[in-house]
Amino acid sequence: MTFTKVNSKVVRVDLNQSGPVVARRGAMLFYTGTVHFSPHQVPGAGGMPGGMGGIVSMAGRMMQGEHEATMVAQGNGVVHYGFRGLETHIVDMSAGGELRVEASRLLAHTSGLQSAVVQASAAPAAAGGGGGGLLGALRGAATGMVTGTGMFTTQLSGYGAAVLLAHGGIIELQVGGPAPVFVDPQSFVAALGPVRTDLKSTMSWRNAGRTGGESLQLECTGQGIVYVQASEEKL
Amino acid sequence: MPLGAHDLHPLSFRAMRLLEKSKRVIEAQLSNTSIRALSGSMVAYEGQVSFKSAGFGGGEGVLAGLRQRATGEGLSLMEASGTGIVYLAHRGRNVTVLDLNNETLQVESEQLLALNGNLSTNVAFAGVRGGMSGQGLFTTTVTGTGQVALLSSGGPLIHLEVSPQYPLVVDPDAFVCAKGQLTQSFVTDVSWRSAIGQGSGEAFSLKWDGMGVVSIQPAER
Repeated sequence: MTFTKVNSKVVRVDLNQSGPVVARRGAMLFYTGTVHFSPHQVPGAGGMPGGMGGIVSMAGRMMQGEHEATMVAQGNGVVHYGFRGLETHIVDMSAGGELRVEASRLLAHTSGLQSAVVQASAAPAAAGGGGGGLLGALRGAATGMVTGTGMFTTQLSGYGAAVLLAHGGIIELQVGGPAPVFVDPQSFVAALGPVRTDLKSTMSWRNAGRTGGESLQLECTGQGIVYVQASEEKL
Repeated sequence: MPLGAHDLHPLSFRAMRLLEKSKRVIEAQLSNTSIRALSGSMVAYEGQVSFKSAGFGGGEGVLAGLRQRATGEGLSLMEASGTGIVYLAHRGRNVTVLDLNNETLQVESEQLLALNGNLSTNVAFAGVRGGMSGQGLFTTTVTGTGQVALLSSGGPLIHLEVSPQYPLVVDPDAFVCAKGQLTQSFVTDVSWRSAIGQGSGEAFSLKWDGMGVVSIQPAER
């Protein structure tokens, strides 16, 4: 394994084995050896002086919504990462694959993984199945506000390893079995493999206010694993 | 499913199992049955499950709403019904499943995550306790046969046995639930020191006498 857990909240990585590691800025706890940290850029994201500026950058940022600043660690040594006392979870992608994760829930990944910002398939306007018109618009607005997850997510693809952050630990759910899988949008952390997530709303005029607080759900279809945290807490 | 001779649980009880999926997640298995859980506590589910509001812990109907207003024992439940597996969790807190066999459990309403079977909830007068610490005069009771999933902050629940020779005194802010033939009383340790602001910070305590089990969490609310 590239990343190893020191305890449930801290991971260590040996840069000699892993190569450069991209991590959320400020998540480095300590390191040994000669390690250099420098800002890292996700394609399509703004804010890099000398890179894309102005409108392109702004558009990138808007698209990202909640992209987190990252840094890349290079050199020889062992780096320890942790963030706000949140539980970590290592996803092994040494066999290749694609991981879609909320930017705020990604702690680190090896630089061999290609990272990009993609549109989550749950575009608010099309959400809900039969949610056109005013109610559809309301749902769309509610989605962004309620979930805080926005329309875009970070996609990592290729070979390597990534570390997820979760409040209260992670459970893995297999997608592709006989039973469909639904996840609370606030508890959704990431999806590994070709998993499609569609936002569904069980809300209608009829049951408004009587949905038991579970009116929005992410329906996961396809083949893969979804990672769910034991909390509805946003990061 | 036929009921095996070795199986002590009634059939309906098995069909609606609550399991500890991890330290912080409860797995509830539904087969055309329903469970009640804290509103908004679903993190994921598999299968065909629908959710609807199931009112408050004080019983049924309008009276329950009024009672909730009057007592401050707020407990908003939802009902999950259908066939599948529901995963329940709340703010990353630890979970514990307790079995009730025709018993009554006194529980802090905010520590309740889920209940199944024929369990009914009510709000009862618990005597004068913790008046200063925000723990009200009322407590939620869960009665019947089934399983209850409880939340605890700071770590797993700690179960403490109470017997007639050994009464137990707990901090009202750490108290989670009590089961058995227990009477509760309120101990104060207010002296002139408290009056001049030199109290120990443990002026009010809950004392349990009788026979039973009291559970506390390793954190104070």
